[in-house]
Amino acid sequence: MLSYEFRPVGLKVKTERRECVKVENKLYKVFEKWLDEFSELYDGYDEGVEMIKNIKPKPTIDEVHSALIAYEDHPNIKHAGLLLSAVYNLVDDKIIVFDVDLDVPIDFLGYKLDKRKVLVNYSRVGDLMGWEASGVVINCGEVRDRVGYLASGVVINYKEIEGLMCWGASGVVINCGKVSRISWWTSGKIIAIKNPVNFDDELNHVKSFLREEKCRKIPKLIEYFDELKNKLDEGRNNPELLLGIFGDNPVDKIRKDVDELLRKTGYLRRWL
Amino acid sequence: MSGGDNVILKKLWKEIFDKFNYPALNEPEIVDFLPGPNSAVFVWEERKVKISKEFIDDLSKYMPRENAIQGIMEHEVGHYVLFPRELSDQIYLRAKAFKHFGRKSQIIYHYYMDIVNEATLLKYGLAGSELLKIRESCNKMLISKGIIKDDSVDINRLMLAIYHFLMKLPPFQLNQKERSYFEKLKEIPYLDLSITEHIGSMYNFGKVIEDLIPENKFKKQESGDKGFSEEMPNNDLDSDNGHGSCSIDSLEDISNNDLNRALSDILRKYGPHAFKISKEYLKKVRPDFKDFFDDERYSDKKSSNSKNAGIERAEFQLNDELIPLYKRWANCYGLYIVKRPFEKDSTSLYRGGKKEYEVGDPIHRIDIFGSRGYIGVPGISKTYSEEEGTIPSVEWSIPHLFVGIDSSGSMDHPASPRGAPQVLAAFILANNYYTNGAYVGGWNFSTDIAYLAPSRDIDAFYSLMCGYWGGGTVLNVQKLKEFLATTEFGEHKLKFSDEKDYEKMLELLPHEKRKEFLDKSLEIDMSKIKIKVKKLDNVIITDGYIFNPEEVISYLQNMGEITRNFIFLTDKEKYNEWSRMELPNTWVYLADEPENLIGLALGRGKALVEESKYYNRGDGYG
Repeated sequence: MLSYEFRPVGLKVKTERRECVKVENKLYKVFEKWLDEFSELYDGYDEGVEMIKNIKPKPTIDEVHSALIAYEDHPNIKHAGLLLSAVYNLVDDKIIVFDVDLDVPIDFLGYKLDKRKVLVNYSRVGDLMGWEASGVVINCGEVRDRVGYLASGVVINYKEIEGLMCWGASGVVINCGKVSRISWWTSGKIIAIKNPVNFDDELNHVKSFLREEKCRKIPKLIEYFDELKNKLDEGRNNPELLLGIFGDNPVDKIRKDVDELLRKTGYLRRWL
Repeated sequence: MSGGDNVILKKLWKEIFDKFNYPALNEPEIVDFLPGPNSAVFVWEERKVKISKEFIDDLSKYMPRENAIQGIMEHEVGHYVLFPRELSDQIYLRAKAFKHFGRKSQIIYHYYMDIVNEATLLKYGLAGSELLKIRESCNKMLISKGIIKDDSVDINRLMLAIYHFLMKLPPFQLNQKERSYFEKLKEIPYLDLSITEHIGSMYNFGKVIEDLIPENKFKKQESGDKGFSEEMPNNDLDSDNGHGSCSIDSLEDISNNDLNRALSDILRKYGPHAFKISKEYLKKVRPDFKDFFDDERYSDKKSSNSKNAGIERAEFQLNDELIPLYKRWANCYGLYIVKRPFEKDSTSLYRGGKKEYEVGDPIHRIDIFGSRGYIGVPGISKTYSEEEGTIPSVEWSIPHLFVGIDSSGSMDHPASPRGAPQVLAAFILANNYYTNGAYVGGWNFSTDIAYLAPSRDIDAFYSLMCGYWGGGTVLNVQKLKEFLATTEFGEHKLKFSDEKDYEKMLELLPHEKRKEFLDKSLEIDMSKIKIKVKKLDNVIITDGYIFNPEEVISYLQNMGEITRNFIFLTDKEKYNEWSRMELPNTWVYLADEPENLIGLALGRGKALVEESKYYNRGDGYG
């Protein structure tokens, strides 16, 4: 008896599978799951930490950023900063350069940044960058609003923040770029190498606030931050170059340097 | 030699055609010259592989001629059958590559496409040593032509090393410099990935090889229109005859129709943001590309020429510029609507007046008594004339569509990067009802209502659905009923309610009635608008967070007694709450994700099929 088998033309290729090495990026799956399940009602950061912990070996920063680009068109990508922050705090890298061109600016970049880490942003990001960060958060890109809220580390702005900076911050806040407003509700040191666009009079009542006019009288302070910016630009594509600048404890390093410069001019004593 | 090549190609094509399971391709061709690197290419528009004769000549210096042709053919057919396979994926990947790598994107994209294609071919046993040999020969060829140096890093060798690593072959020998690249490249996944994952892998791949692509690969700025622009992806790579070792094809010859279909696929598979960047990319590389859905009326938001322009209320934003996007998106989905019996005007002929008989008039219309015995005499005999009129009758037909869309602050804005699922669902419904000859209309609500009577003007409907109020959600049912009672079907004029209407109405009510109304115990009298409502399919798309749910439910209850209600809820909790309510003739569906909502629109079709079986048994309503 005859029987015929009609194979689907051009659709399913008859193959003999060869055994091969399986290279997979587990981070993709985690990213997809996290984004699919994200809800504004739960703590995406803690959830992210739990998910990332299980990935062996630990993902690299490049892998994280490529996953971010891969899922750029996901509806929840706006919130991906929370997951990114979880990864930044779990990977071994100390210096993290965020230089990813995204159409949808992400929120919560550098959320709860560990005190041993430095985050340098060169891109356009959304709101709440560096929320509750205890590390060093540096902006060399464009941020929409609410930068360094409740941060206990160091927050430096070199380029542009459209909204408010450092509400409730208890660390060191330095503005060398363009910012709409700096919050007066802060217990940290505020150094405005450039004054905010909208100067809040309340700022004058903040005990440890140094405005632009006074900063001009401390050229070494300005030089220090100019030099830091140049070094950051050099290390933009190779973050390892920046390791030597910040040492093991970047927050302490900047604090000490700033204190030293201020001590010489007498400001620190006056503040204390 | 070309004649010999053709014989080899013919013989090999038979084997390859069978091996790849008869793909829908035309017979390959050997040509004298190909634009770009002058190697081999799969031409999408012609569904054909073209190989440059010179490329075969060059390769045959390092490997047998037959093997060279076989390797090339397997590689090129692989692009059609395996990767990137779909034109939509090809455009999307190119757009992404261009976004991140600018003018180097063309080369990065092609190398990435080659590596995925060849690794897949090797993995599935569709290609073998011939393919590996081609990469090796390409490297030797480039060295012999002086394009690269002996000790420089060549991507062909890196690709070979990756294939050896992936297929567990003996390690391919690399120098120190090459090893550093290889270590990074081998960590990137290439096989069995989704397109989303491919984007991530392509980005990583591009970052590694970016500095290996020399700037002199690109033509220098030329004067005139055809000059290379910094912002443009380079379609005109230098034809250095070095066969840059990757096949460069372009989107230049692909028809507008194919490109439009591909764009629709991108929108359906990857969403509005992916569609936007792909379209922008296409417009750059193909200035002659014409989007079939582009409409000049909606091209500029401010100078919108739509019918509703000028009557826009401050709080109600019309987003007419989004209409082409949602029209295209909705066009990807179909929906089956079951006819429903309801009273409608049907045409019928009746005997009108009388006229004098003319030759050729039907005999059966002759008025025998009025003709006084002269039958069939022109000018003397009389005939009845027939006239057309309408009579009400019950017919099975597609009802008109009446969609209530929630555009309060809790709903997605139509312009959000993910798109607004409620708007998409409304467009899908409207497309299908409209195509079936029904009227489409509805209302857009938050605390106020923008109302459009059902009509055959689908553009006015689209405009209404893309509108956005923002704010809270209080449904003014009385006003809606008033709209239904006072408007005539067919008129396409946008009307607005006002919060003041509601307050005014409350003020006018007697004290007892007002209390009754505020306690939500008022029965809504629908009898006056029953005939109109009976012709409608009533659809509400909302998240369910409505300030006055009792009133809305009462409205639905009343509507349900006359017609059928379909409620799409975008919130899970509210869905659980609403689905427990036993409303007559009402179907409540969860639509918490765009996919669900689209599925529901289609799922609705399935449900309707079940209903039709029920009706056809003869025990349904109607």
